[in-house]
Amino acid sequence: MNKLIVKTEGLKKYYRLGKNTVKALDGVDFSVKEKEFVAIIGRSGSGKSTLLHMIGGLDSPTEGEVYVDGKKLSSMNREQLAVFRRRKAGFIFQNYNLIPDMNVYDNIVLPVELDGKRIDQKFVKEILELLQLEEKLDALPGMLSGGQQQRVAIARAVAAKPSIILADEPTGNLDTVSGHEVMGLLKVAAKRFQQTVILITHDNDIAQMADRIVHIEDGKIVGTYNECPGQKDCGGNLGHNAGREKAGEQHAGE
Amino acid sequence: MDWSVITSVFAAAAAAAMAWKMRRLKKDIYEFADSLEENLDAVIQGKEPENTGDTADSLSGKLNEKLHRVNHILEQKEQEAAMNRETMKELISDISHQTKTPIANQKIYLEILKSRDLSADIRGFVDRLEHQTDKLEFLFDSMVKMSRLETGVIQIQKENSDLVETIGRAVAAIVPSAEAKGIRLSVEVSHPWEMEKRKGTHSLPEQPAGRLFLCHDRKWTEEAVYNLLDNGVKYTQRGGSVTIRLIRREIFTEIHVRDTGKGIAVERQAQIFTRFYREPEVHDREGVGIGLYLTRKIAELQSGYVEVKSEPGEGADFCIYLPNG
Repeated sequence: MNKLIVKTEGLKKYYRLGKNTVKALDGVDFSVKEKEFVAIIGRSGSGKSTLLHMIGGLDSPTEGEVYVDGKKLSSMNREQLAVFRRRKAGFIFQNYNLIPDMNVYDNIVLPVELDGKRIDQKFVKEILELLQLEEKLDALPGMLSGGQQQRVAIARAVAAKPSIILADEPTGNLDTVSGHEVMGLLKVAAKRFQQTVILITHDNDIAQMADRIVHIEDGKIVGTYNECPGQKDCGGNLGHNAGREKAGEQHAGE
Repeated sequence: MDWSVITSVFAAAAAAAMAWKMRRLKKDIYEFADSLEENLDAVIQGKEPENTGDTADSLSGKLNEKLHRVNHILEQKEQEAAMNRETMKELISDISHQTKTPIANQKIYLEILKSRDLSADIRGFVDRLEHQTDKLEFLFDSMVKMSRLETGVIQIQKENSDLVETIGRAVAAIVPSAEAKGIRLSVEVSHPWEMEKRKGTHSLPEQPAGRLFLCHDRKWTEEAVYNLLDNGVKYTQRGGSVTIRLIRREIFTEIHVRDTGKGIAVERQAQIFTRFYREPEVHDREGVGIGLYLTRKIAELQSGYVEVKSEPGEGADFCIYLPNG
């Protein structure tokens, strides 16, 4: 089986609000395998965004540990965390967060350039082709539709070849049809470029497209559903029924 | 006084020389790191690294030499993999070839046997034998297809052609079994997105009525759609209907196959795409639980994906998403 790329242990995040303590996360043990596509669902305020931010090194836990790609995030200093975010994590946000006065191409290669890396033109071209953005390279984000802007954001996240892609409500600003299409592309792109995706959504239809759905309420994981067992393993050997194994695993875990 | 002037001049000169040397050193290091990165990138992308100074006894020379060796090793590994694939290809084609004749012979003998006068119970056995032979034949066919797709023996060949025509061929193949069960088949085509865009400034090639040009692999897409249709007909009761809808959207073209059958429980919707999965209630003639698996594989090889929406008793809506670009 694939190795774990993300692991959290007893993750807690408490906020003080006057006399009250708000438990945004209350002991979350969560892990993601390499190349897995996981959706985290939950109501707003359930702690799902907090969890994503912890995994991305954007926020630090009150208690517990986050490991990404074998590295403990709490042992990194600010500078190391910044490098970690740049190299290991690709972010996709609800409001796209593209730079308005840079064209599509420059937006996409920005993280690579920031990291001082050479731009892999062949790879960028492949991404552009897959995300159907070849004709929009010179356009400014403001000229694009929401769906197109989010495709640029996906391309930007993928271009830096991160270990994990973290998507926070990527379809939140899109209508149902474009949201669905953008999700489809994210799924296809993650598969093609062998990337791990953790996605937050409150839309059940969108979550259905993931390999696994994790349900969070009140800072705790309340359920896990394997939507598509074997989805990632279909390229496996002939005699090896990965799908059944995975389904079996799930039952055993329940 | 003279001494202090001389000393300071010397000091200044020494400092300048040091600074110059430092700058040279720094430049050298940057150049070294740059060329190293360039060569590493080349190796990562499977290209030959540049062999600047690999004969010189310098650090970059030594590293370049090593990189060349790494590249060489990678190339050899690739060749090995290609050879393994070739062996696999031969093995698969041998299996498919060598099993064809015995199965065909078996079928002929069964035919002959059936034309004889047989007692009722022997006839029953012969029928069952025939059924199993058909199943075996289908199983071999499917497994050969599956392994060819999986080992990359078959390359998906995408070309811009009429998707409606491809669907038409799949539909034509399913008509007999649909007719036998009295199931109505219908096809709808719509391009909501283009309609909308054409109103604006966008200029898109006009799609002639009843046609839909899309870059896709005709043969395998037909197979994928046929598998969905086959399932639709199989799981729909007499008098039901199977509807094919093509919808061209902004990014993907959707091929929906909707039936009015018994539907699929949510907890099984993921499993149906795995290899050799069979719905527990159905164990009829053909079908070895490979169809949906193949369909998904075919969609994925074309950078698309497959989805199902269904509720028990409400029929099922399978959809293949193929990218427009």
